Amino acid sequence: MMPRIGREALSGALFCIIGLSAILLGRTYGIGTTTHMGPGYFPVMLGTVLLVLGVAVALRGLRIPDSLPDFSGALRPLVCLVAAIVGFGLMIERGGLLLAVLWLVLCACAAGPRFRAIEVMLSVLTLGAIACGIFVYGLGLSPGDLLP
Amino acid sequence: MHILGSIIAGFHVALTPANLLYCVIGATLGTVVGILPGLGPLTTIAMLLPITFKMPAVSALIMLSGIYYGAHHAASTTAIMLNMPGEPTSVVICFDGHPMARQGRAGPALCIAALSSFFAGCVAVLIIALFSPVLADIALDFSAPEYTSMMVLALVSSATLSDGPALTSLAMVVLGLLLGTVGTDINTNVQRFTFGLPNLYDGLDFVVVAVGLFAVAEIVWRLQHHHAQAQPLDKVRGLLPRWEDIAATWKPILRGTALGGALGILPGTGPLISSFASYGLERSLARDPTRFGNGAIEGVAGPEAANNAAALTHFIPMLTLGIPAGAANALMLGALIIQGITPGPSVVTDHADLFWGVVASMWIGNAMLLVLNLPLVGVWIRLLRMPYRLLYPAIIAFSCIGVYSLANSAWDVILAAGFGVAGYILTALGCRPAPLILGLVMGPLLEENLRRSLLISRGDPTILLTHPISAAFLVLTVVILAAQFARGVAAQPRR
Repeated sequence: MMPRIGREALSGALFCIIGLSAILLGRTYGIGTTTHMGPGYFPVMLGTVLLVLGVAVALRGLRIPDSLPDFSGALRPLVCLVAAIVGFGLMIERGGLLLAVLWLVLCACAAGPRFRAIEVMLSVLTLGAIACGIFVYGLGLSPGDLLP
Repeated sequence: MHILGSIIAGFHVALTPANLLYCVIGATLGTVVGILPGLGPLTTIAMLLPITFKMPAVSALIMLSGIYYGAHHAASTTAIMLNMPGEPTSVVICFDGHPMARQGRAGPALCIAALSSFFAGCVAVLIIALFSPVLADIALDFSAPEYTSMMVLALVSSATLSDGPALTSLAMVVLGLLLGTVGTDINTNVQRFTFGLPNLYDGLDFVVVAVGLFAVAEIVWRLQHHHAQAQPLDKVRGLLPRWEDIAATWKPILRGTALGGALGILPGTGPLISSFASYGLERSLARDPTRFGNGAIEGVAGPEAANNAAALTHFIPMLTLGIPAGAANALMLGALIIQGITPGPSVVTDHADLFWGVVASMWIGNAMLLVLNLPLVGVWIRLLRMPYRLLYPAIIAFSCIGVYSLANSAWDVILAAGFGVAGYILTALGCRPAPLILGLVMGPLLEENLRRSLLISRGDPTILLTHPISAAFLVLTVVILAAQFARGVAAQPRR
């Protein structure tokens, strides 16, 4: 049987890459001596362990029947949620909390399978109100930050 | 009588109006997230961590632990009514709890589950109160080599003994440890893995990573694997169990409590494994094992007791040794560190009000859960109808506000989105993110103890083997790894 590349083999390869980069980068920080561990000592050690584990995971993955990762249907939630969060982060300082929450909830709702306008509006109103409450009373931030 | 005095002092802390309120909030929230299939205690704790930083440490821990044990307490309701675990740890309850519900005996199943949780919870808190000071006393003699080996043991056992493939979980722990090194090295002021970004100089905030991995990635995963929501069975008639039920369950409850209480102390085992072990034990002890799977009440009582006992004794290593036994404990430990409390054996004595206050609050919380669960069961069942599409925007909104409030920094929010994407890809590749959080929280502690050990021994790494306790920890680590490896070889399909 031909070795099949599946989820486990891919994750093993990913661990190998991260482990290897940790070793290469860590070496530049200075390994030091065992008595006085340099800043690179621990990262290089961890990178080596990760590399070994990655090889083991990959080899195991090649020997067992495994399927490829299933990304179908993930693009829409992924893009919408990232847009929601990144937009929230960019807006909250300039546009104020209310605008940021509005954007966040609208984008997040678009990530779901169906966009129901009335439900979304209710979500925006409820979450906006609760968010303001937490922001001002729970976290003690100034009400001036709510609006642009 | 020293312990009795401490417990009374603990109740003084736990019964102040503010702490009592946090206990109620924690237990209620825990019940809600335990019942809602789309929201778990890990996500909730990650989401609420930033708010707890504004509270006193003891109140924060009272609330967070309430969420944790409350969720374990309530998750059986979902398992019984929906045949779907509210939390992964209650999957065993589905086996016999749901058949009972379909036979019209949902009421007794829920009641026995609540009673066995309550009993197991009370006993487990007693175990914490009696056992922790002893363990802390022993651990006070530990020095850097012992801590180093103990952390290695805890990380290895929690990675390999929990669910999922052991090798992958180990790799995720190491990845977490590596992420823990990001930022300025405290000893040399060298920037590690910061790529010139000033925002990374202080390292990765574990709250940001936890929100990304447990809130964002989890939501993407659930939206991708969107299924029609199961409809709960409607009516619960007659909560009270029959006399035969009580006669049949008191022994399984005792056995489950003992099993869970013991297994919970070890990192990695804990609620899930304890409940499976208890189910297996009850089935092998039963006169007629074929009843199991068809609504045997012992199959609900034993595992439910084991699950809850283990969820509570899981706190022992965290409170006495500063070693988290699972991802949720790791988050709480991180919260304590941010509150300025150095985790370790000195917490029991130096922060006695914190330790005993939390222990006392667990008793109060357990009693409260019994009151919450049984009479309000109708409310909770209606909660099962809450559609996920209304739930997840709220999770995202509160997570983002929380992350932003950490340092009023937009960068943290964007970083959380990044970890959400990374977490989703890892999950799709079959790597569970929970071990990563353990590594991330433990990373700096492990590095510091390793550094100190090697400084003591002037660079001789065998110090980890010449200190007897440290050597014992390492031998145990090797035994666990060897057992896992042997099991893996045995399970490997022959070609």
